[in-house]
Amino acid sequence: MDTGRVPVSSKRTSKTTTKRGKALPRRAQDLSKEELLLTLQKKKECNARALKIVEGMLEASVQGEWFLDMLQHINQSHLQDITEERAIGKLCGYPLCTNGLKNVPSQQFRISTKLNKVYDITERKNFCSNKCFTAYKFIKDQMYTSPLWLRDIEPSVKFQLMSSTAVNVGAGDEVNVQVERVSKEEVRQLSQEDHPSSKLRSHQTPFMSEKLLVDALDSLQLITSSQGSSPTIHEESFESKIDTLKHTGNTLMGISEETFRNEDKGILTEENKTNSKMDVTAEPPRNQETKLTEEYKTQGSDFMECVGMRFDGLSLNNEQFHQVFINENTNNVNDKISLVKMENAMDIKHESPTSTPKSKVDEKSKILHNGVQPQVFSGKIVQREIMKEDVPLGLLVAKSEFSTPLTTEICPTTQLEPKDYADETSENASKIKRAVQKTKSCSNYTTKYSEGKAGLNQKRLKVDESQKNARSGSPCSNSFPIVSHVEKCVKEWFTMETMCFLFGESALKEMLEQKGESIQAHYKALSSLTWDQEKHERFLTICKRLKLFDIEDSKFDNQVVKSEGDAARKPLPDYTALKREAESMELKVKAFYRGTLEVEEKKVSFAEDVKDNSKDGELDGEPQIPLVHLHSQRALRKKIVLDGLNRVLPDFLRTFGIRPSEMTSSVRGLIGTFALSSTNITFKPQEWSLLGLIVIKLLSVREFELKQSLQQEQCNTYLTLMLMSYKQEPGYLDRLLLWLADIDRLLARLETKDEECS
Amino acid sequence: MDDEAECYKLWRVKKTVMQLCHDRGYLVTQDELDQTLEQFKEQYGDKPSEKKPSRADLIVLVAHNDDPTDQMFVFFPEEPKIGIKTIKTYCQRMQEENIHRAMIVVQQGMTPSAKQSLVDMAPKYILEQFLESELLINITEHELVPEHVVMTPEEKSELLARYKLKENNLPRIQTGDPICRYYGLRRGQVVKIIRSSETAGRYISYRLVC
Repeated sequence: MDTGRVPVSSKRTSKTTTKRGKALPRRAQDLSKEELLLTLQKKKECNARALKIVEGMLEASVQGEWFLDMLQHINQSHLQDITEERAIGKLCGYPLCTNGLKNVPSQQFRISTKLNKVYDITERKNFCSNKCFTAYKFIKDQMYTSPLWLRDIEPSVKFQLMSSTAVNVGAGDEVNVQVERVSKEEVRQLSQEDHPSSKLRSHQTPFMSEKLLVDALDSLQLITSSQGSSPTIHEESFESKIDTLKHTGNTLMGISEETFRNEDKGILTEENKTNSKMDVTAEPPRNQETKLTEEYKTQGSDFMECVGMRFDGLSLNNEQFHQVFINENTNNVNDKISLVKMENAMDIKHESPTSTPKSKVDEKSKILHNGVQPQVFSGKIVQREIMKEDVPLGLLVAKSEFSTPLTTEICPTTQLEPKDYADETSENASKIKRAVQKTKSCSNYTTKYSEGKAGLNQKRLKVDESQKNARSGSPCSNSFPIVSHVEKCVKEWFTMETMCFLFGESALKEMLEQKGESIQAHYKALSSLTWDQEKHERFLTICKRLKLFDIEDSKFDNQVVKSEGDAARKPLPDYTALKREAESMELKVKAFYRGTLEVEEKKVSFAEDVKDNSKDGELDGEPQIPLVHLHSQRALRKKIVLDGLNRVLPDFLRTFGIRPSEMTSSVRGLIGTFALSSTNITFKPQEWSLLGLIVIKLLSVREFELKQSLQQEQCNTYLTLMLMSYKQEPGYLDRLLLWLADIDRLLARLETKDEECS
Repeated sequence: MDDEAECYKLWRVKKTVMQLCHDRGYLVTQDELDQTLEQFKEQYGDKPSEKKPSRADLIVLVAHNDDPTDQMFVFFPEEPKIGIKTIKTYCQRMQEENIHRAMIVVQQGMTPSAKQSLVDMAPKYILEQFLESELLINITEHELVPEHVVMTPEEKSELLARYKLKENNLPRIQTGDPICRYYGLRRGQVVKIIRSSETAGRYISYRLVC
């Protein structure tokens, strides 16, 4: 530091400080000695004042206003000090509280078993109640952390007391114990890990769009169901249209996949020539895709319209496309399509339980329709696109032409998983080649292929939807094997008793009455089975009591035997006599298992004869299987399912903030109502956890507490992420529940059962 | 904590306190220095949980060898953690009896403001605080702790003159050093440290308390 300058600068600074009085602090080196002393003195004063305030606040009753005024002269540490000092004096740490401290716990931590959290209560111990503690925290959070002696240049703050209605926080500082707690980032990472495994899929099905689709989907399902109820020609055409959608969609998926794959691999074949054209357009494929998903959002509703309008514009479209497609190919293509259509129509019937037998009858007519429909539908889309994007019609025609021949070729592979797609690259390559050649032939349009491709993508997205439509009977939107298996089993499990258990008897009665059925018919079945938890419990207690009697009996027997034995030790009985006795006993047992008690009397008398007879019996070869009670099997299955669920449920429940023990009886009750069979009770671990989620969802209908906790945001995100690992969207569970609880389905099933029985 | 352990602890603390007073030059009888646990129990009782002895019973007042007016209190507060109020009461008592030095042996600690108040009273009333756990053993008896001798002002000036030193030429020792706290040294005092050395037999060094 230049010593010569110091006095000058210091003089100037001192002047300015005196003028302003509230200058910002500078570095200590720049200050003169007097100034330093002044600051030091000020610091001391401030600290002394703070100490005085602390002392003042130790009185039992502190005035609220004075308290608020003084707060700006002390630090957080001083406030903390006040609480400690007051607590030492057996006063509540909050200065405005006059309560004394009583029954202070000696431990440092408190474990909340309800919330599964550990609290550090060292600080909380200084207060009379949680309210005072919260109020103290509220004040403390408002305080500055700056040094006391610099406070006068800061704007003074108006402190506020906590309002009396404010909510209490926990009973202390939460201690982060190393409990398994899933953080958001971890889950995100997980889902990121999951996605690459299905890289191809992620190309084709943007998850975002899938979510956006859900709304449109639901309404579409409504339409299908409403149309299904009125058995007109609409139904068949609609169904076949769905087929069409599915196939064109798959085709397009295949194509787009091809393009992506080819880009990645950079295969140097003649395809590359054509591909390079595609590359130009598909260079930013992802960007395009995302853009498209956005576009799609708006188009979702348009698509609906288009479905409706299709019938109006049918003839018109037909004309249009017949004009365009008058070439030799079309006929062949149509034939092929119709063949495949037939196959798929069958598939669809199997898949969707709602499909009516009518579809079988009208299959022929459908086939007739199908020949034309692919084009019709794509043409419809084309129309929409024209409206949307002002793309010349011709180009899009080319695109649809492009897709139709492929439909026939790729159809066999449509049932395959994405993996299989990847395997069949070479096969598809040739297809794409042909397709591209066709596009080449329409050389006018290739220049504007980019728009065409955009259209393709759009179509592909629609295809996702249409695939879902094709399976409108099932809530599951894709063919994830785990999910479908679990779904199937849960469907089998779900019975009328389950409904009764979940929704209550009265609600079920209402539902049945709405359907025009009397509850009596089903009621009989209900009362006979032990769905009722209480009844089951009573049954168990009776069993227990019987067992106790049994034990007492055997005890008594033992005593008698003992006393006899003690009284007189008989010599060992003769060996032959013993043998005979044993034989007769064996006979008795055998006879018992056969269920005939008469045999015993006949044959006990002569051991020799008996022996022969018994041999004869064995030669007869009648297997003597011990009798098994019907319920014991049920109980075994129930036990298996409960064991499996017990492995996954506690974890889930804990994450939802519920003690597992609270739910045990409900879970037992629910499982008790299920119709468990030998084929649907074994699952893989992953399936168990999905089952756990489903069971929780089911229970939430009945348990209000569970329902509430499921509605919390935290739980929601957790559920969403869990479902994501099964490739399901968040609304999946709700839809599944609706589907399961569909009273019509249950009634139908009961009827079929009755038929089988009769 | 059970009575036995508590009793033992109090005895150890009391013993160390008496040794400390002795080392500082206060008048302590040999009996008090050599008191065994049995004798301690006889004198004060063996049930600390029933206030036999209560900590207040242990309070000691010692006078200096050279100057009988220089007295020191050793307080044993009952509360595990003490606040300003306790300090205030002790201060009053010291004022009444005109004693300017005191030691407070606390069980767990002091609030920050209580510590601050100790500092504030510093020039007139010197209050030192020790934890019970610090006094369970006498650190000066540890084999790794060399012998410290506190020098009088005369000895200090003689030392400075002998070696032609200024005060600030001496090596330093902090006021918060356990040994400094043990001897109750204040800023400016010098302590003579005598170590045994393999080569020189004895090695003497000096420290200025700062």
